[in-house]
Amino acid sequence: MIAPIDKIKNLTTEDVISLFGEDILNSCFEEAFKFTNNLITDNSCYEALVSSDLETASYRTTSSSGGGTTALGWNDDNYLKNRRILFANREIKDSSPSVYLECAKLDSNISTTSASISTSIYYEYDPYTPKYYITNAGKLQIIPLDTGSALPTAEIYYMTYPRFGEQIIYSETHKLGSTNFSDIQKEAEHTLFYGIPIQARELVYIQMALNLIQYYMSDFVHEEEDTELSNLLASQVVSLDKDRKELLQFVVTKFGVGNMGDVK
Amino acid sequence: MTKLQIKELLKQHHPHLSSKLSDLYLELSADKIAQDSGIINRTFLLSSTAGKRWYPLDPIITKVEKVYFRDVRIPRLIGEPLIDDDEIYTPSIGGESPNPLSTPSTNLNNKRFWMLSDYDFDITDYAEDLITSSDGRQLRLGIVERVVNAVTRDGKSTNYQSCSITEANSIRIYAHSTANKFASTDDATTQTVGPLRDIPIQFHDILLSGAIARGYKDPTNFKSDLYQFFNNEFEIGIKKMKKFTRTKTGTGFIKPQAF
Repeated sequence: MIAPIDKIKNLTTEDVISLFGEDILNSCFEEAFKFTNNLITDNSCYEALVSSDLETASYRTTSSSGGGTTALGWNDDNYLKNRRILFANREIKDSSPSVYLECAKLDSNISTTSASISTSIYYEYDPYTPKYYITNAGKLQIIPLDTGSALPTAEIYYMTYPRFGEQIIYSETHKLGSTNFSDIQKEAEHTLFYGIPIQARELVYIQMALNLIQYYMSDFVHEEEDTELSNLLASQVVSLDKDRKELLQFVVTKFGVGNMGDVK
Repeated sequence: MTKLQIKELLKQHHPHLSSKLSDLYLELSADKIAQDSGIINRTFLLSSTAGKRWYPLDPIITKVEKVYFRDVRIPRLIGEPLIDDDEIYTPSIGGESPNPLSTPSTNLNNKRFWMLSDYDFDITDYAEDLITSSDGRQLRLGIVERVVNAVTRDGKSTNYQSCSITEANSIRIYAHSTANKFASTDDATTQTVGPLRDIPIQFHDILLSGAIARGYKDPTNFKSDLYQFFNNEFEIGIKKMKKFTRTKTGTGFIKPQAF
């Protein structure tokens, strides 16, 4: 086990921190994480989250309104910011014990137009085939509503994307607000990768290294006009890109689209 | 199969259907089954009114099999009476009098017949340009009594007069009908809601095939090979249901042969 920054140093250069600075390192990791995470199905993300040491509140919302202090409800403003919704489950009212049914995602425009017209083919009224959608106010909404237009009881499984240096508010999955990528010690490596299966971590590192080298090459080509150095780097890019392609194929095959759980 | 199960199976083929559309496809399939196989039978009650010949039928009725009047089976009238007792027009509205026949007096013959009119029943809006369709298209069931020279008008006479008895729930109609519809209050964990109640459990798979086939006709999910496959399953299934319906209660028909 090695610290994440040492891994990146091995893939690029020992001087990576002084060359790029913390902000670019952080940003490259965030982008590489998003790239890899979006190759992975909701089911695989969910399995990675629930098998981690995270407390449930970091990936599950059960209240429609959080009160605006430490947590957000799923029907609150800003809930969808920087957040990937994995599953939205609606409770069948008055069921005992509680029974939840998974909601399918509904087209946002249809949801605010035809879905409420009882004679439309897009009408949504069956609690046994619930749907969720994004409202024009940026909230998450689950239909059908309960009797009396009350919000139904629901649980939302989600993950937020890692963000370094930004204030942590409202149930973030990764608690990276007061740290930088280079600060993460080897014992805490897993805290960077909540929501990504262990087998896919390598792809994040390779992608991050490629992102950094592209920054570097761009700088030398456009600013320094040092073609000799950029040619040297290009050969390293080819090598990393080969690894990336192999890992990409592995991750997509093992955790990507086509696995069980994609169709909702 | 419960409603939940059948919709989950439908969802495997058509994951993006709305609640309404998935219900609609199942209902359409059930109605086609009802029309082609005659498997959905039910009875309907009407109350007779003295002097009233025509009674509106429930729009879900597709075919009247037999009619009982006060629990006595009455035959169907072949042909139609020369003089009608027209209640399509309502004299009280607009002052236009259709000159109705007088209410017949009770007779002891009790020779009653039923007849069916395919013309829309609409007594609420008599004027042709004011017809509304709040009740949908309704066929008319006619009840007449046979009394010699019962009615005479304009030099013509007929042996058929309108029903002469006023009695609640005196007419029972045995008919084929379309299937029940799903409702938002359905308990989807049961197999007795909407069309699932009308179609025997062993044929729920056929209902599902019809809905899946219909889904593959959608332009957004058009797959001609799968449509053909499931539609074929559906059509074969309907034939099985037709056979089942005939052998369940019918006695069949012995075709005469010359030797």
